[in-house]
Amino acid sequence: MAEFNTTLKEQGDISIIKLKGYLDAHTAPVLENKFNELINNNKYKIVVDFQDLAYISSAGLGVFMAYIEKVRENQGDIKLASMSDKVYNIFDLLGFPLLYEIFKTEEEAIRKFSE
Amino acid sequence: MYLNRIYKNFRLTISIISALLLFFIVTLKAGNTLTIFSVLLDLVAITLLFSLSVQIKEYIRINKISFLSLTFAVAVILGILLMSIWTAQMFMDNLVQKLNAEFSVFSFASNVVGIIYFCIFAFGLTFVFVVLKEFYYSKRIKYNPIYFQLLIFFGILSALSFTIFQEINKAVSTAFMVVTILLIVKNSFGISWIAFLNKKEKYKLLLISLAITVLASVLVGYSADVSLHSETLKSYSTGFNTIALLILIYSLVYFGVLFFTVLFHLPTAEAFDRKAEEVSSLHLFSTLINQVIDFDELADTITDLTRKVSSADASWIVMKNGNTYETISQKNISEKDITEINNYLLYSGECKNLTKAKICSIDKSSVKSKLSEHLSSVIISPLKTQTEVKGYLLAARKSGLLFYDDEAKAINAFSEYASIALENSRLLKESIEKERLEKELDVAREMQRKLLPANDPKFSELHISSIFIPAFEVGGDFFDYYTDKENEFSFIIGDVAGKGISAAFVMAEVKGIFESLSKILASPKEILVKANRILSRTLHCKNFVSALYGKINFITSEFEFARAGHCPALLIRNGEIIKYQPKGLALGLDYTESFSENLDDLKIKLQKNDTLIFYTDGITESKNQLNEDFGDERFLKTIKINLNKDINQIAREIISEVSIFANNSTQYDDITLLILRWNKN
Repeated sequence: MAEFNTTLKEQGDISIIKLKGYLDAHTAPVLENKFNELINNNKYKIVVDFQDLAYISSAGLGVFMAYIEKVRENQGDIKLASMSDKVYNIFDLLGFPLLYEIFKTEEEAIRKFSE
Repeated sequence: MYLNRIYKNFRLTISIISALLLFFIVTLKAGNTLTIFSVLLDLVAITLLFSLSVQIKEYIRINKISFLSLTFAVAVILGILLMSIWTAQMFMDNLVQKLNAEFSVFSFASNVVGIIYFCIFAFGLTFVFVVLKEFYYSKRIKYNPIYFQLLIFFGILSALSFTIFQEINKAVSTAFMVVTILLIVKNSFGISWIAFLNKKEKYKLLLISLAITVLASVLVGYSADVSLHSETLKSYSTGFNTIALLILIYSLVYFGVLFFTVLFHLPTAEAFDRKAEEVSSLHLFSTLINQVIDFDELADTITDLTRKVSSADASWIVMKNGNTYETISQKNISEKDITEINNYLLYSGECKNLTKAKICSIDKSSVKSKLSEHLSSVIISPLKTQTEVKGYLLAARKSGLLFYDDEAKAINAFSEYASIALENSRLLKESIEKERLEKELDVAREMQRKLLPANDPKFSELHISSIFIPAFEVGGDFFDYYTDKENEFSFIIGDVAGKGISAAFVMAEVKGIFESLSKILASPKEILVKANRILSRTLHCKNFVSALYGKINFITSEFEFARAGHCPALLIRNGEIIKYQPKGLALGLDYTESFSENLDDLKIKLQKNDTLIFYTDGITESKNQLNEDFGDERFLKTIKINLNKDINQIAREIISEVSIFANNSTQYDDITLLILRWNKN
């Protein structure tokens, strides 16, 4: 089974989750726990860095859908950054770019929060 | 027949013959004091004793009589012998004189009574001797029969010598007797079998051995003295009287020593009982490991046995559950006390990195005052697997004394067994659960297969080919055909996000929605928009469905479709592959107007031999052993190579390429492939 892990970085009131490995139905709970943790700590400004993510399945995409409403209700947002072409194509195919802001770099996503 | 019976009861026959011989010889002897008669009587008496001893020994062996019962039997027999002596004294004053008198009716009658009296003593004392022999040989660390054999040898020598040398030299007989008594004393030490009795049995043994000692000493008094009793026995066999005396001395010394040995063993009896309990519990436990299936029952047995093994007042098991500890079994202790002790020992870091059982005193700690019971000493032992500590086994005692090291060692050994047993039980539970889930998945897989069309419809204008390969886990791929409307063929292909039973349920629901909508609505876009609205009522926020709805009009040759986040449609025309990916969000991602605004409808006028390919990402995301994707490029290349073939052939070639690429890797996602070829000008 492919590995997946996340690392969390705080920059001011923005939380940056870095994803690494394969995000699918089996590893999705790891990311869900991360989101739960942030929401429980009232941290609603979230940037997800996809730079080291090799693969995302539909179940992995479902995780973002599960939290976006709650985050936006609290004046926050989940912004996505640094996706490889392969990962972006999956997001694009399903129409995710209409729902999420996707940035080329993590810095751009962070900057967008402070605007 | 009769001979056969005699042979069977050979020993008994010998005993009866010996007794009869004694009777006849004494009758014939009639006051005669010839030594030859006395020697003859001794030899017959020894034969009688020997034959009796063999029978008694066999009886004890066959019936497996316990040592405590044997001791009790000895006491009873000695009591009976004493009663016999007293009875004889009351009624048989002239017995000896008449026995040794000339042959007469009176001497004959006395002889009848005398031989019965003799036989009672012969039997009783033989029994005592056999029991003493059993005791001597039992549970010895070193097997050394020589001392006992010497004892028998010198016993017989002293018996015979008294008869033969009595008149000549009494010193020789006395010397033999002294040697025999010394051997008796030697053989009466080193009693090891009492160590195996429990405390209660030791108390009983103490009383019985005291009684035997008293009885034996009285009987020795009668036998050694010139009394009616000893004279009666001597009338039959002087040797027997000596042997009887020696056996009584032996039992006096042996049971005297036994009395003191038991007395000294009593203080340690409880400890010994506990050790025995430990050993038997461990034995019981080692068998339990492979037997107990129920986890809770096993945990209960472990706590119970722990309490017994360590003579603790309370015991409990806690298992790690994340960062906390959960009590899975408890005996004689309240949840409150467990929490207090756990807080003190486990959460405070007192027992961090514990590798073996540790004795902790809580007598002077602050936790003591918070407890409802006066617990003062706790043993804590880790329950560990090869890699980690899964929990702890704890036992607590009320008395002010700390647990001892050997108790800690026992608990340690016990917890090692317990860890294995609990782990086995957990794994078993898991595998049963896994099996159950696999069966459920089988049902779901079957359900999924039944929801998909069994056959492809046949039209002259349109050829249809479909392939569906379910993944190992149940997935959410689906496709369906709608042929109710005249001159029209519609279809849906889709994929529910995620896997497992929940995806299969969503898939069944989506299939139903499309089936209904295809009957009442005409436009693919309308159908997808309406389906999205219906799904908003039931779909969980993290679920979504990608779908592509297509419609072909046989009159106008027009293919119309809309795509809700699904893989693009491929059109192969004149050897070229054209990819169509109109705008469209997956169902369930957005329930606002924006969904409809971002969904494009596309119409394509079909030409003869146009081939349309629809698929799910199970094809392009098929993985090989290096975790690489089959990808779009390989997919399109395969189509290109085979595009002139029949559509069934193209479908087979694509699947075959995917299989070759994936080799032996697990298929993670369902594969659905739908190929249509337009056959009309």
